[in-house]
Amino acid sequence: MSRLPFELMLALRYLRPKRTSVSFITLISVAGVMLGVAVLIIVIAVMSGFDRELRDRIVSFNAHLRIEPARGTLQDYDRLSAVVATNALVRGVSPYIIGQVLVKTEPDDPNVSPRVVAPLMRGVDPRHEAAVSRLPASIVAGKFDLGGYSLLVGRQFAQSMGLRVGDHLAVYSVRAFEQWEASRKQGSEEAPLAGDYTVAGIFDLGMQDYDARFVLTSLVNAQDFLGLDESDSVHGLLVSLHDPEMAPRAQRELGASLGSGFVITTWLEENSEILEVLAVEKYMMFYLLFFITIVAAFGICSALITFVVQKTREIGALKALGASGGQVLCVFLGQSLAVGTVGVLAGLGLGLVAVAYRNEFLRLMRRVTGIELFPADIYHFYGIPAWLHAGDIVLICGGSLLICVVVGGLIPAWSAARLKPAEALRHE
Amino acid sequence: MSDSAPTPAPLLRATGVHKAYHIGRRSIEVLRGVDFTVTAGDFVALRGASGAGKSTLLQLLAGLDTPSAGEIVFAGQRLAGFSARELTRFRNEKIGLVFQAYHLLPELDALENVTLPARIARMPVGVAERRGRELLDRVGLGHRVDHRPSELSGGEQQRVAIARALMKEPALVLADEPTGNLDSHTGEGIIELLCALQGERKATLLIATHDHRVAARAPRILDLVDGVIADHAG
Repeated sequence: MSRLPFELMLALRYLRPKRTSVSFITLISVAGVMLGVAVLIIVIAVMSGFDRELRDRIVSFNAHLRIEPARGTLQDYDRLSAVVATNALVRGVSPYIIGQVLVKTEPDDPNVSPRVVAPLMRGVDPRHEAAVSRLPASIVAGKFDLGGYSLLVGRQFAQSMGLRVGDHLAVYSVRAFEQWEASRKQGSEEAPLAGDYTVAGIFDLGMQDYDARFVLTSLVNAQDFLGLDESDSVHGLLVSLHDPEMAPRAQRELGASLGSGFVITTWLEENSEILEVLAVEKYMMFYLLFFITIVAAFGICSALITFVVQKTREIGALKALGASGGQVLCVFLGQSLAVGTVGVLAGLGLGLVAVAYRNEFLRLMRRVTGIELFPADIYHFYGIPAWLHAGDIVLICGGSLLICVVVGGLIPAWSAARLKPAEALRHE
Repeated sequence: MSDSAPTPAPLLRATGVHKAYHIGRRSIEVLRGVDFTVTAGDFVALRGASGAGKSTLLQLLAGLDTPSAGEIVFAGQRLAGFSARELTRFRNEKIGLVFQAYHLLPELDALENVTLPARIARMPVGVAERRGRELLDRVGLGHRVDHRPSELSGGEQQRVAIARALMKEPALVLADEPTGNLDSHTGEGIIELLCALQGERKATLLIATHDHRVAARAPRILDLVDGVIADHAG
């Protein structure tokens, strides 16, 4: 004989009809919950994956904090870097210089017209760059070599300009044009001189903003090119942290230790708009997709209401034997709990499997339909990103179970508990 | 000083019990002032034609429904004074019910059905199981403990229902037409069993029946006619 409390024993027995092991209605109810939970897990995991991937790409170039002088350029950056590096939250510090330049290609073929664009030039210190960005690890052609007059360009920049490693570029600084303009006003026609640079490597950070708009050179070249006359002056410092989420705290601590005269910006502030959009999208998905579970819970509710009507005389008998309204309530809540639990567990399993094999599924769909459902050239992802966050899983499973019990079970259980025994026994 | 034995206190007393049902604007008065007492250990038959209100009266006595007027007192306590929780406990502990339609739970086997009142009262499973097996043995179904109601005949189902009614050793067993769904031979067996159990356990037994032969087995008969009781010693 079952050792379970009689309410749970009866709830589980009610899920099994006389001839088969599981009732068809129970299976449909379980399938509804399972699909709701699985879809929630898959969609939220993919959205979290996108979110994480995007965050990774954002900080792959601009680190977690940017320290700039409130006015002018940053002098004696080595000393300041050493102060910043003493903070326990800080993983690495590297100086940078940034400014707009004019770049013209120098095609070997005289029949090909040169192309001209105005990207941002960033001067970096190759010794420290790996500590603050993923640039050294993102080289897809050539190498991370900033010696001499070398440039690194983004993949999309290289594609749009028709560049390959080893190609030459003429680079003009804004300062050269300003000098040219000044000389013209003085009656002289001194043409601006271009720097002759060689493409040493092509990087791919997976962010169009970075891969299409930036060229990189050494700190010395950038100082020279962008008019920073002193060798120890830069535009600012990029700071990476052990934990990116600690950026606001690091901002406060560094603000206190460096004193006024510096502007410290976190990556969260710089990208607040897109991060908020992603967060809102994820919450919206949560709300919208939870409706699948709510619809599934209504399925449970409808099945249970029918069941309560069918079992009215038995409910009367139970009450005649001394079962309280609360005990009857528990029997039917137990049914919705059992259906919900099995549905949630099945949905969790299905969701986890679907997330694990998402890319295999994508390939299968491509083979079957011939349609690329997730074009890499649009999304710049070579597979669907996904990230299973424990908090999301707990929220999905716990929330779904709660919805099943409350929405699916409470109304029928309450109506069963309120049945008057004499009337229930007379029920035809 | 009188030499007669003192009158024992009644286990059950109904005084001026009325019950009316309202269907739309119509009111149907089923019981019109029922008065009677039952002493502990009595075996009483409540006789009346179909529709006379026997089942209604039994439901009132079991605390399954409330009278429109009058009062029912059990062991000195007014049922109307019970809270919902006390009434639930009263039904579980003091009353054993046997229905014409058995009302066994089809999803449970014979033993689980018999032990249900004990499980409702949170009796330890082992104790309930032992007692349930004893009772099923006593009603002649010791070999059918794991059979579901659909696998039992009508007579066997009623035996299971009788065992269930006795599970909590109630002070009062109320049987509502216990042979009503059975053929005469099987019904005779059920009445024999009820009589034997009443004798063995000194339980108070009130059987509602329209069958004169069944009623004749009781030492005392209450006739329910036109909503009132006429008392006859058997």
